[in-house]
Amino acid sequence: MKIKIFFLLIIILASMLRIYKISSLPVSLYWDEVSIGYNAYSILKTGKDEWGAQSPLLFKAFGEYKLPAYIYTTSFFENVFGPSEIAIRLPSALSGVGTVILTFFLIVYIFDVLKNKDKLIDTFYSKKISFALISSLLVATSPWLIQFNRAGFEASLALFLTMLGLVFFFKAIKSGYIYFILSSLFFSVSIYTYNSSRLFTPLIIGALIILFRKCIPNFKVSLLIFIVSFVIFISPFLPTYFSKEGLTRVSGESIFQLKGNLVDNFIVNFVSNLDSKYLFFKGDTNLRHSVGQIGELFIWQLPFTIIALFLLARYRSKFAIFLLFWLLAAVLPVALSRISPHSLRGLIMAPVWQLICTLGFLYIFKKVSRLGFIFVILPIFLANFIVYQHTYYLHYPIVSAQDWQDGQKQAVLEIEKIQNNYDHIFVQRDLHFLYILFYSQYNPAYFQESGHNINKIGKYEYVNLPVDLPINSQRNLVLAVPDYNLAYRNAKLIKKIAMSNGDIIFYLYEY
Amino acid sequence: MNINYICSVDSVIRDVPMQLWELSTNDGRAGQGPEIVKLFHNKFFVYPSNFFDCYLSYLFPRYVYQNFSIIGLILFFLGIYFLVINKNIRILFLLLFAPVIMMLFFPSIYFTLIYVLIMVYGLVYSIINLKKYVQK
Repeated sequence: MKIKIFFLLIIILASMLRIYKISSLPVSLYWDEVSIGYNAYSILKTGKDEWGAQSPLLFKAFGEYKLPAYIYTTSFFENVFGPSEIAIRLPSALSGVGTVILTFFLIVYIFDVLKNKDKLIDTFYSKKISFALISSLLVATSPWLIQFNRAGFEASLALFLTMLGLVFFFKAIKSGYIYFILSSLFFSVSIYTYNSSRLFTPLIIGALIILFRKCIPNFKVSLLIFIVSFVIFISPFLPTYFSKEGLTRVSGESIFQLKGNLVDNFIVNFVSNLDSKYLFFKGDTNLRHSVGQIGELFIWQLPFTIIALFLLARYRSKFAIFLLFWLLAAVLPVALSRISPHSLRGLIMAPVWQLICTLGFLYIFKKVSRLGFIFVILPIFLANFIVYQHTYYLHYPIVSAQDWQDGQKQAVLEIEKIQNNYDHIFVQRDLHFLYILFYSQYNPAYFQESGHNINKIGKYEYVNLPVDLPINSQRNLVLAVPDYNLAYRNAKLIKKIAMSNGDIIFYLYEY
Repeated sequence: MNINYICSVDSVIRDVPMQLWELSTNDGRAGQGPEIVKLFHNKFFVYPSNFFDCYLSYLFPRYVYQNFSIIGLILFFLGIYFLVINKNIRILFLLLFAPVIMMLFFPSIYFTLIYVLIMVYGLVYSIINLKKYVQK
């Protein structure tokens, strides 16, 4: 009963950390999120994407191609909530809560499967439930996971699906091979979700089969069921997987784009993901990917993580190899890309750091008294967590507004309020067309019929300022960045549009 | 050998006031009072955190790789692994002390000898263990 209550509290905490103020923090939808949102809206209304392609497996966007799973999931949420921030971000947040729950079950199943077969597991078997609960709690409070679960990132859903695949894999070993079909289903859908999974999922499947082959009952039959179902589920995607379009993002962001020695670049990229500054002190430098002043993991986790790494090296058990392989396989897609470290592409390794930390924590916990825990470890954990929350809710909206393209929504909503008073609306390219489409809820069918014409969307017309403003006797509204002086058209400034941190981003004129 | 100079006591001391100013300013913009600002952003937290960050940057893979190549990195971790297994506390203590020297003085070739010592230790014990494994 106590365990159930504690687990329920962890789930409630995870939900609060992920869903509270989700529409307004991060401060704005980034254009990738808007692209997902409008394509989902387009699918919902017309069954086609913004380019008019019927139920595609790849969505064309910004010269790259987005994978389909998150967009189709979002269209379901938009059916309920309408095209809004919550509809775009909720799938990611719920995936995050799901990841917390699955972490618990993953540990329970692994411990059961490896009982009496693995020295490390046997050492900690009496602490199985504590291990599962602490891991879930750490996943629930992880800044790394909270950061991505609160925005519409496909990586959150991909991680959730991978966790489902793992949980059902171990469930299948325990309870019968029918669960292998579910495991292969979720593993294959993760490949439909995020680019890193295209490399990570096959690697982890290979590792699972090799590492746990002796634990799998009827190994040959089980393997056959698993592989055949995986191939069936993945086969619709295979032609696009290897197509030129499907590889656009992968090749565009690959390590081959970097100058210098390839091997050297790869090793630097690889070890950058294991750097102390990145993991424990500053996090990812991209302010969409971290709050900027706090590492991907809490500082208090450092000693436990180091102790656990030594434990893993000492035991060299199946569980240890599984965790280390998961970690290194998750680093691989990041190391092979242009920018490293990259906490988004490496999100799949976030839970494994928490599992490693839990191992170190329980090892130390055996050696310190309960009082030592209450008076030393718990206050340090709470202090770190409160500082993180303070940073996230107070500093982050201010410093990251520009990185989240804040101000675009405000501009479109302001124009929408007064647009009936004007014959023409002239805007600069600084206002991205996707924000116009999404926030004006422009009918996707019209946009498809226009042949994806982004120069004129309804009343909105893109112009190059200051030269392209037409002279006419009609009522004109102009949206411009603050640098431009439109006095020569006798334009009157009617509104300054600010980001949520107060910085002015656009001026609205009429003439 | 090209020794990379990452950070020092001086650079940490120089950076902290600017960092505190930035954090306090953001708190001010978020409408927080001076008590909250002092509670969350004080030198008692920022100095140790920055020193620790600087200290660890000399022990993590990136620094070792950039100064000693991939072979050095592998041998370094093998060295630490065997030092822990063999409970060789003295050399481990030397390693933990090395970043302090690097932070206090401009690094010279002499200080990197500690790293080299660990790599040699890793190499020797790898060979010994490999021999044992082959003999088995």
